[in-house]
Amino acid sequence: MDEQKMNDLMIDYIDGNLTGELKEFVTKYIEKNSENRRKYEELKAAMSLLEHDTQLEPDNSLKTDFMLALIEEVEAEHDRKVKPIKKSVWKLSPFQLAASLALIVSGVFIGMWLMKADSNNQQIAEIKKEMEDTKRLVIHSLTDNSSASRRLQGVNASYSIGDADDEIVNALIRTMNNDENANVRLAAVEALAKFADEPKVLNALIESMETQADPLIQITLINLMVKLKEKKALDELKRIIEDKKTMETVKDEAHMAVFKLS
Amino acid sequence: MTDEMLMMAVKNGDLQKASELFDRYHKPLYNFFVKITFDRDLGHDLTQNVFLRMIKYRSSYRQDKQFRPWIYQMARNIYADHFRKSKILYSDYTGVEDLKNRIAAVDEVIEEDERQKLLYISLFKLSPEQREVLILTRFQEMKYEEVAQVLDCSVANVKVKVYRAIKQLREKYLELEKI
Repeated sequence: MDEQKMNDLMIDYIDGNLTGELKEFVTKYIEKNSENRRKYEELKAAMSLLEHDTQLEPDNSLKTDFMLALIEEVEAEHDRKVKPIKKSVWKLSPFQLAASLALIVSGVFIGMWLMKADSNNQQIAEIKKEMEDTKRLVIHSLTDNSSASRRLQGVNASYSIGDADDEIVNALIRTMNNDENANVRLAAVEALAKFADEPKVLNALIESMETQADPLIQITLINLMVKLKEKKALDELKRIIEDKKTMETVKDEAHMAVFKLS
Repeated sequence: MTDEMLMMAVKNGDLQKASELFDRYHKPLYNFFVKITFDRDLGHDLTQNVFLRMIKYRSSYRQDKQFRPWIYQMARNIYADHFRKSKILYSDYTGVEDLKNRIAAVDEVIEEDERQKLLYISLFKLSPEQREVLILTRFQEMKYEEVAQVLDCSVANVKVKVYRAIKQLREKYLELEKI
Protein backbone atom coordinates (compact mmCIF):
# COMPACT_ATOMS: atom_id res chain seq x y z
CA MET A 1 0.00 0.00 0.00
CA ASP A 2 1.40 3.42 -0.91
CA GLU A 3 2.28 5.90 1.79
CA GLN A 4 -0.51 8.38 1.13
CA LYS A 5 -3.19 5.68 1.33
CA MET A 6 -1.71 4.62 4.66
CA ASN A 7 -1.84 8.21 5.90
CA ASP A 8 -5.51 8.49 4.90
CA LEU A 9 -6.28 5.24 6.67
CA MET A 10 -4.53 6.39 9.78
CA ILE A 11 -6.68 9.54 9.91
CA ASP A 12 -9.80 7.38 9.53
CA TYR A 13 -8.44 5.06 12.22
CA ILE A 14 -7.95 7.91 14.70
CA ASP A 15 -11.40 9.28 13.83
CA GLY A 16 -12.82 5.84 14.67
CA ASN A 17 -14.20 5.31 11.18
CA LEU A 18 -12.60 1.91 10.55
CA THR A 19 -13.99 -1.48 11.45
CA GLY A 20 -13.16 -5.16 10.91
CA GLU A 21 -10.18 -6.22 8.86
CA LEU A 22 -9.18 -2.72 7.84
CA LYS A 23 -9.03 -1.61 11.47
CA GLU A 24 -6.94 -4.63 12.34
CA PHE A 25 -4.67 -3.95 9.39
CA VAL A 26 -3.94 -0.42 10.60
CA THR A 27 -3.44 -1.60 14.20
CA LYS A 28 -0.85 -4.08 12.99
CA TYR A 29 0.82 -1.45 10.84
CA ILE A 30 1.17 0.89 13.83
CA GLU A 31 2.57 -1.87 16.03
CA LYS A 32 4.96 -3.04 13.35
CA ASN A 33 7.82 -0.70 14.27
CA SER A 34 8.70 2.39 16.28
CA GLU A 35 8.72 4.63 13.21
CA ASN A 36 5.08 3.79 12.45
CA ARG A 37 4.12 4.24 16.08
CA ARG A 38 5.77 7.69 16.18
CA LYS A 39 3.94 8.72 13.02
CA TYR A 40 0.65 7.58 14.52
CA GLU A 41 1.24 9.37 17.84
CA GLU A 42 2.13 12.62 16.07
CA LEU A 43 -0.93 12.50 13.89
CA LYS A 44 -3.14 11.71 16.87
CA ALA A 45 -1.69 14.60 18.88
CA ALA A 46 -2.26 17.07 16.04
CA MET A 47 -5.80 15.81 15.53
CA SER A 48 -6.60 16.12 19.22
CA LEU A 49 -5.31 19.70 19.12
CA LEU A 50 -7.88 20.43 16.42
CA GLU A 51 -10.63 19.36 18.79
CA HIS A 52 -10.03 22.50 20.86
CA ASP A 53 -11.78 24.62 18.26
CA THR A 54 -14.66 26.66 19.59
CA GLN A 55 -17.66 28.12 17.81
CA LEU A 56 -17.60 31.93 17.64
CA GLU A 57 -20.87 33.83 17.93
CA PRO A 58 -21.57 36.62 15.46
CA ASP A 59 -23.38 39.65 16.88
CA ASN A 60 -27.10 40.16 16.33
CA SER A 61 -26.61 42.91 13.77
CA LEU A 62 -25.65 40.25 11.21
CA LYS A 63 -29.22 38.98 11.26
CA THR A 64 -30.91 42.38 11.34
CA ASP A 65 -28.77 43.66 8.43
CA PHE A 66 -29.69 40.60 6.43
CA MET A 67 -33.40 40.95 7.21
CA LEU A 68 -33.33 44.58 6.05
CA ALA A 69 -31.64 43.56 2.79
CA LEU A 70 -34.21 40.82 2.33
CA ILE A 71 -37.14 43.20 2.79
CA GLU A 72 -35.60 45.50 0.18
CA GLU A 73 -35.22 42.62 -2.25
CA VAL A 74 -38.81 41.43 -1.73
CA GLU A 75 -40.07 44.95 -2.39
CA ALA A 76 -37.82 45.36 -5.46
CA GLU A 77 -39.04 42.01 -6.79
CA HIS A 78 -42.60 43.19 -6.31
CA ASP A 79 -41.93 46.41 -8.27
CA ARG A 80 -40.23 44.50 -11.11
CA LYS A 81 -43.29 42.33 -11.54
CA VAL A 82 -45.78 45.20 -11.65
CA LYS A 83 -44.19 47.20 -14.49
CA PRO A 84 -44.17 44.74 -17.44
CA ILE A 85 -47.87 43.95 -16.96
CA LYS A 86 -48.90 47.58 -17.25
CA LYS A 87 -46.79 47.94 -20.38
CA SER A 88 -48.27 44.96 -22.22
CA VAL A 89 -51.85 46.13 -21.60
CA TRP A 90 -50.96 49.59 -22.82
CA LYS A 91 -49.49 48.29 -26.05
CA LEU A 92 -52.68 46.47 -27.04
CA SER A 93 -55.18 49.22 -26.27
CA PRO A 94 -55.48 51.01 -29.69
CA PHE A 95 -57.19 48.10 -31.38
CA GLN A 96 -60.72 47.26 -30.55
CA LEU A 97 -60.39 43.52 -31.00
CA ALA A 98 -57.05 43.50 -29.32
CA ALA A 99 -58.50 45.71 -26.61
CA SER A 100 -61.18 43.21 -25.75
CA LEU A 101 -58.58 40.47 -25.78
CA ALA A 102 -56.36 42.64 -23.67
CA LEU A 103 -59.17 43.06 -21.22
CA ILE A 104 -59.43 39.32 -20.79
CA VAL A 105 -55.67 38.86 -20.70
CA SER A 106 -55.19 41.73 -18.30
CA GLY A 107 -57.99 40.35 -16.14
CA VAL A 108 -56.09 37.12 -15.85
CA PHE A 109 -52.81 38.92 -15.31
CA ILE A 110 -54.26 41.25 -12.72
CA GLY A 111 -55.74 38.29 -10.94
CA MET A 112 -52.37 36.59 -10.97
CA TRP A 113 -50.64 39.78 -9.96
CA LEU A 114 -53.04 40.29 -7.08
CA MET A 115 -52.32 36.78 -5.92
CA LYS A 116 -48.61 37.40 -6.29
CA ALA A 117 -48.91 40.80 -4.62
CA ASP A 118 -50.77 39.12 -1.81
CA SER A 119 -48.01 36.57 -1.40
CA ASN A 120 -45.41 39.37 -1.55
CA ASN A 121 -47.31 41.28 1.11
CA GLN A 122 -47.43 38.14 3.17
CA GLN A 123 -43.67 37.72 2.76
CA ILE A 124 -43.07 41.32 3.80
CA ALA A 125 -45.34 40.80 6.81
CA GLU A 126 -43.44 37.67 7.78
CA ILE A 127 -40.09 39.38 7.43
CA LYS A 128 -41.36 42.36 9.41
CA LYS A 129 -42.44 39.96 12.10
CA GLU A 130 -38.97 38.53 12.17
CA MET A 131 -37.53 42.06 12.43
CA GLU A 132 -39.82 42.57 15.39
CA ASP A 133 -38.41 39.37 16.95
CA THR A 134 -34.89 40.67 16.37
CA LYS A 135 -35.88 43.91 18.07
CA ARG A 136 -37.09 41.90 21.06
CA LEU A 137 -33.76 40.10 21.06
CA VAL A 138 -31.89 43.43 21.18
CA ILE A 139 -34.04 44.68 24.06
CA HIS A 140 -33.65 41.38 25.83
CA SER A 141 -29.85 41.46 25.55
CA LEU A 142 -29.80 45.07 26.78
CA THR A 143 -31.48 43.94 29.96
CA ASP A 144 -29.34 40.85 30.46
CA ASN A 145 -27.87 41.55 33.88
CA SER A 146 -25.65 38.50 33.85
CA SER A 147 -23.35 39.53 30.99
CA ALA A 148 -21.86 42.91 30.10
CA SER A 149 -20.57 41.62 26.77
CA ARG A 150 -24.07 40.51 25.83
CA ARG A 151 -25.43 43.95 26.69
CA LEU A 152 -22.66 45.47 24.62
CA GLN A 153 -23.67 43.21 21.73
CA GLY A 154 -27.25 44.40 22.22
CA VAL A 155 -26.16 48.04 21.94
CA ASN A 156 -24.17 47.29 18.78
CA ALA A 157 -27.07 45.38 17.25
CA SER A 158 -29.38 48.35 17.87
CA TYR A 159 -27.52 50.17 15.06
CA SER A 160 -29.18 47.87 12.56
CA ILE A 161 -32.74 48.56 13.60
CA GLY A 162 -32.71 51.59 11.33
CA ASP A 163 -35.00 54.53 12.18
CA ALA A 164 -35.43 55.56 15.77
CA ASP A 165 -37.67 53.02 17.38
CA ASP A 166 -39.32 54.08 20.62
CA GLU A 167 -38.76 50.87 22.50
CA ILE A 168 -35.13 50.57 21.43
CA VAL A 169 -34.47 54.24 22.23
CA ASN A 170 -36.03 53.85 25.70
CA ALA A 171 -33.96 50.74 26.34
CA LEU A 172 -30.80 52.54 25.23
CA ILE A 173 -31.57 55.52 27.48
CA ARG A 174 -32.07 53.19 30.43
CA THR A 175 -28.78 51.47 29.60
CA MET A 176 -26.95 54.79 29.26
CA ASN A 177 -28.14 55.96 32.69
CA ASN A 178 -28.25 52.78 34.73
CA ASP A 179 -25.92 50.13 33.38
CA GLU A 180 -23.28 49.19 35.94
CA ASN A 181 -20.60 48.75 33.26
CA ALA A 182 -18.98 51.97 31.95
CA ASN A 183 -18.17 50.44 28.55
CA VAL A 184 -21.80 49.50 28.02
CA ARG A 185 -22.95 52.98 29.09
CA LEU A 186 -20.45 54.57 26.71
CA ALA A 187 -21.61 52.37 23.83
CA ALA A 188 -25.21 53.36 24.58
CA VAL A 189 -24.27 57.07 24.45
CA GLU A 190 -22.65 56.51 21.05
CA ALA A 191 -25.67 54.58 19.77
CA LEU A 192 -28.06 57.28 20.98
CA ALA A 193 -25.97 60.00 19.31
CA LYS A 194 -27.28 58.63 16.01
CA PHE A 195 -30.82 59.65 17.01
CA ALA A 196 -29.84 63.00 18.55
CA ASP A 197 -32.10 64.90 16.15
CA GLU A 198 -35.06 63.45 18.07
CA PRO A 199 -35.88 65.96 20.87
CA LYS A 200 -36.53 63.16 23.34
CA VAL A 201 -33.09 61.62 22.73
CA LEU A 202 -31.33 64.98 22.84
CA ASN A 203 -32.94 65.84 26.20
CA ALA A 204 -32.00 62.45 27.58
CA LEU A 205 -28.38 62.97 26.51
CA ILE A 206 -28.24 66.42 28.14
CA GLU A 207 -29.88 65.15 31.33
CA SER A 208 -27.48 62.24 31.43
CA MET A 209 -24.53 64.66 31.68
CA GLU A 210 -25.75 65.39 35.19
CA THR A 211 -25.34 61.83 36.41
CA GLN A 212 -22.42 60.40 34.45
CA ALA A 213 -19.27 60.31 36.54
CA ASP A 214 -16.96 58.35 34.23
CA PRO A 215 -14.56 60.84 32.59
CA LEU A 216 -14.60 59.07 29.21
CA ILE A 217 -18.39 59.21 29.05
CA GLN A 218 -18.41 62.81 30.20
CA ILE A 219 -15.95 63.79 27.46
CA THR A 220 -17.93 61.86 24.84
CA LEU A 221 -21.12 63.69 25.84
CA ILE A 222 -19.37 67.07 25.89
CA ASN A 223 -17.91 66.55 22.43
CA LEU A 224 -21.27 65.38 21.16
CA MET A 225 -22.89 68.62 22.35
CA VAL A 226 -20.24 70.62 20.51
CA LYS A 227 -20.78 68.59 17.37
CA LEU A 228 -24.54 69.14 17.59
CA LYS A 229 -23.95 72.86 18.37
CA GLU A 230 -26.38 72.37 21.24
CA LYS A 231 -26.67 75.54 23.32
CA LYS A 232 -29.19 73.90 25.65
CA ALA A 233 -26.26 71.99 27.13
CA LEU A 234 -24.53 75.18 28.35
CA ASP A 235 -26.00 75.08 31.87
CA GLU A 236 -25.00 71.48 32.31
CA LEU A 237 -21.50 72.22 31.01
CA LYS A 238 -21.08 75.05 33.51
CA ARG A 239 -22.22 72.77 36.32
CA ILE A 240 -19.58 70.21 35.27
CA ILE A 241 -16.90 72.93 35.38
CA GLU A 242 -17.96 74.04 38.85
CA ASP A 243 -18.28 70.54 40.26
CA LYS A 244 -15.29 69.84 42.49
CA LYS A 245 -15.42 66.15 41.72
CA THR A 246 -14.91 66.66 37.98
CA MET A 247 -11.51 65.61 36.63
CA GLU A 248 -9.28 68.37 35.25
CA THR A 249 -9.19 66.92 31.74
CA VAL A 250 -12.98 66.85 31.68
CA LYS A 251 -13.11 70.43 32.93
CA ASP A 252 -10.77 71.49 30.11
CA GLU A 253 -13.04 69.83 27.56
CA ALA A 254 -16.09 71.49 29.13
CA HIS A 255 -14.39 74.93 29.08
CA MET A 256 -13.56 74.46 25.42
CA ALA A 257 -17.14 73.38 24.71
CA VAL A 258 -18.60 76.44 26.49
CA PHE A 259 -16.26 78.62 24.48
CA LYS A 260 -17.31 77.03 21.17
CA LEU A 261 -21.03 77.08 21.96
CA SER A 262 -21.29 80.61 23.35
CA MET B 1 -37.38 20.96 4.48
CA THR B 2 -33.92 20.25 3.06
CA ASP B 3 -31.52 23.07 2.21
CA GLU B 4 -31.97 22.24 -1.46
CA MET B 5 -35.78 22.53 -1.24
CA LEU B 6 -35.48 25.86 0.56
CA MET B 7 -33.08 27.20 -2.06
CA MET B 8 -35.36 26.06 -4.90
CA ALA B 9 -38.24 27.91 -3.19
CA VAL B 10 -36.06 31.04 -2.99
CA LYS B 11 -35.18 30.62 -6.66
CA ASN B 12 -38.89 30.40 -7.49
CA GLY B 13 -39.68 33.66 -5.72
CA ASP B 14 -40.40 32.64 -2.12
CA LEU B 15 -37.70 34.91 -0.72
CA GLN B 16 -38.87 34.45 2.86
CA LYS B 17 -37.25 31.01 2.79
CA ALA B 18 -33.86 32.73 2.47
CA SER B 19 -34.09 33.68 6.14
CA GLU B 20 -34.25 30.01 7.09
CA LEU B 21 -31.12 29.30 5.08
CA PHE B 22 -29.53 32.28 6.80
CA ASP B 23 -30.42 30.79 10.19
CA ARG B 24 -28.87 27.46 9.25
CA TYR B 25 -25.66 28.76 7.71
CA HIS B 26 -24.68 32.16 9.06
CA LYS B 27 -22.77 30.81 12.07
CA PRO B 28 -20.68 28.21 10.21
CA LEU B 29 -19.91 30.74 7.46
CA TYR B 30 -19.00 33.41 10.00
CA ASN B 31 -16.66 30.94 11.71
CA PHE B 32 -15.21 29.91 8.34
CA PHE B 33 -14.35 33.51 7.47
CA VAL B 34 -13.09 34.59 10.90
CA LYS B 35 -10.80 31.59 11.23
CA ILE B 36 -9.35 32.13 7.77
CA THR B 37 -8.93 35.89 8.02
CA PHE B 38 -8.55 36.26 11.82
CA ASP B 39 -10.64 39.40 11.57
CA ARG B 40 -14.12 39.48 13.11
CA ASP B 41 -15.38 42.63 11.39
CA LEU B 42 -14.25 41.32 8.05
CA GLY B 43 -15.81 37.93 8.86
CA HIS B 44 -19.07 39.73 9.61
CA ASP B 45 -19.03 41.64 6.31
CA LEU B 46 -18.04 38.66 4.19
CA THR B 47 -20.78 36.52 5.76
CA GLN B 48 -23.29 39.25 4.96
CA ASN B 49 -22.01 39.33 1.38
CA VAL B 50 -22.53 35.59 0.94
CA PHE B 51 -26.24 35.89 1.69
CA LEU B 52 -26.68 39.00 -0.41
CA ARG B 53 -25.03 37.17 -3.30
CA MET B 54 -27.17 34.10 -2.64
CA ILE B 55 -30.29 36.22 -3.14
CA LYS B 56 -28.87 38.13 -6.09
CA TYR B 57 -27.78 35.04 -7.99
CA ARG B 58 -30.62 32.78 -6.84
CA SER B 59 -31.60 32.02 -10.43
CA SER B 60 -28.20 30.38 -11.03
CA TYR B 61 -28.91 27.67 -8.44
CA ARG B 62 -29.57 24.25 -10.00
CA GLN B 63 -31.76 21.69 -8.32
CA ASP B 64 -29.22 18.91 -8.71
CA LYS B 65 -26.58 20.92 -6.83
CA GLN B 66 -26.02 20.21 -3.16
CA PHE B 67 -26.64 23.43 -1.29
CA ARG B 68 -23.78 23.32 1.23
CA PRO B 69 -20.91 23.00 -1.29
CA TRP B 70 -22.66 25.58 -3.47
CA ILE B 71 -22.84 28.23 -0.74
CA TYR B 72 -19.27 27.50 0.39
CA GLN B 73 -18.02 27.88 -3.17
CA MET B 74 -19.68 31.26 -3.18
CA ALA B 75 -18.01 32.04 0.15
CA ARG B 76 -14.57 31.15 -1.26
CA ASN B 77 -15.14 33.37 -4.28
CA ILE B 78 -16.13 36.23 -1.99
CA TYR B 79 -12.98 36.14 0.09
CA ALA B 80 -10.84 35.60 -3.00
CA ASP B 81 -12.43 38.72 -4.55
CA HIS B 82 -11.96 40.65 -1.36
CA PHE B 83 -8.25 39.91 -1.13
CA ARG B 84 -7.69 40.45 -4.81
CA LYS B 85 -9.20 43.90 -4.43
CA SER B 86 -7.33 44.84 -1.29
CA LYS B 87 -4.15 43.22 -2.66
CA ILE B 88 -3.24 41.70 0.71
CA LEU B 89 -2.19 38.12 1.00
CA TYR B 90 -3.08 36.21 4.14
CA SER B 91 0.47 34.96 4.34
CA ASP B 92 1.60 38.57 4.72
CA TYR B 93 0.48 38.52 8.34
CA THR B 94 3.80 37.83 9.96
CA GLY B 95 4.51 40.59 12.49
CA VAL B 96 4.29 39.80 16.20
CA GLU B 97 1.89 42.69 16.86
CA ASP B 98 -0.24 41.56 13.99
CA LEU B 99 -0.27 38.06 15.37
CA LYS B 100 -1.46 39.34 18.76
CA ASN B 101 -4.26 41.37 17.22
CA ARG B 102 -5.35 38.60 14.93
CA ILE B 103 -5.40 35.98 17.65
CA ALA B 104 -7.46 38.36 19.77
CA ALA B 105 -10.10 38.11 17.04
CA VAL B 106 -10.86 34.56 18.07
CA ASP B 107 -10.12 35.22 21.70
CA GLU B 108 -13.50 34.61 23.29
CA VAL B 109 -12.71 31.78 25.66
CA ILE B 110 -9.05 31.40 24.85
CA GLU B 111 -7.79 32.68 28.21
CA GLU B 112 -9.07 29.60 29.97
CA ASP B 113 -7.65 27.10 27.54
CA GLU B 114 -3.95 27.18 26.73
CA ARG B 115 -4.24 24.38 24.17
CA GLN B 116 -6.89 26.33 22.35
CA LYS B 117 -4.65 29.36 22.18
CA LEU B 118 -1.87 27.18 20.76
CA LEU B 119 -4.28 25.70 18.23
CA TYR B 120 -5.23 29.12 16.88
CA ILE B 121 -1.67 30.43 16.84
CA SER B 122 -0.56 27.29 14.97
CA LEU B 123 -3.50 27.64 12.62
CA PHE B 124 -2.63 31.26 12.00
CA LYS B 125 0.88 30.20 10.96
CA LEU B 126 -0.41 27.92 8.22
CA SER B 127 -1.15 29.07 4.69
CA PRO B 128 -4.76 30.16 4.07
CA GLU B 129 -5.28 27.11 1.85
CA GLN B 130 -4.22 24.81 4.68
CA ARG B 131 -6.38 26.69 7.17
CA GLU B 132 -9.30 26.39 4.82
CA VAL B 133 -9.09 22.64 4.40
CA LEU B 134 -8.81 22.11 8.17
CA ILE B 135 -11.74 24.41 8.90
CA LEU B 136 -13.94 22.63 6.39
CA THR B 137 -13.05 19.05 7.25
CA ARG B 138 -12.26 19.20 10.96
CA PHE B 139 -14.09 22.21 12.43
CA GLN B 140 -17.16 22.10 10.22
CA GLU B 141 -17.02 18.34 9.74
CA MET B 142 -17.85 18.44 6.06
CA LYS B 143 -17.60 15.19 4.11
CA TYR B 144 -14.59 14.80 1.82
CA GLU B 145 -16.98 14.60 -1.16
CA GLU B 146 -18.48 17.96 -0.27
CA VAL B 147 -15.07 19.56 0.32
CA ALA B 148 -13.95 18.22 -3.06
CA GLN B 149 -16.84 20.09 -4.66
CA VAL B 150 -16.03 23.27 -2.76
CA LEU B 151 -12.34 23.15 -3.65
CA ASP B 152 -13.03 21.85 -7.14
CA CYS B 153 -10.67 18.89 -6.89
CA SER B 154 -10.82 15.11 -6.38
CA VAL B 155 -11.57 13.41 -3.06
CA ALA B 156 -8.08 11.86 -3.11
CA ASN B 157 -6.65 15.34 -3.47
CA VAL B 158 -8.65 16.60 -0.49
CA LYS B 159 -7.25 13.75 1.60
CA VAL B 160 -3.71 14.67 0.63
CA LYS B 161 -4.36 18.29 1.54
CA VAL B 162 -5.86 17.32 4.90
CA TYR B 163 -2.94 15.10 5.82
CA ARG B 164 -0.38 17.74 4.86
CA ALA B 165 -2.27 20.46 6.73
CA ILE B 166 -2.49 18.35 9.90
CA LYS B 167 1.21 17.55 9.66
CA GLN B 168 2.08 21.19 9.15
CA LEU B 169 -0.13 22.18 12.08
CA ARG B 170 1.75 19.71 14.24
CA GLU B 171 5.08 21.24 13.19
CA LYS B 172 3.91 24.76 13.97
CA TYR B 173 2.63 23.56 17.31
CA LEU B 174 5.96 21.92 18.18
CA GLU B 175 7.78 25.14 17.25
CA LEU B 176 5.58 27.00 19.72
CA GLU B 177 6.21 24.47 22.46
CA LYS B 178 9.92 25.06 22.13
CA ILE B 179 9.50 28.77 22.85
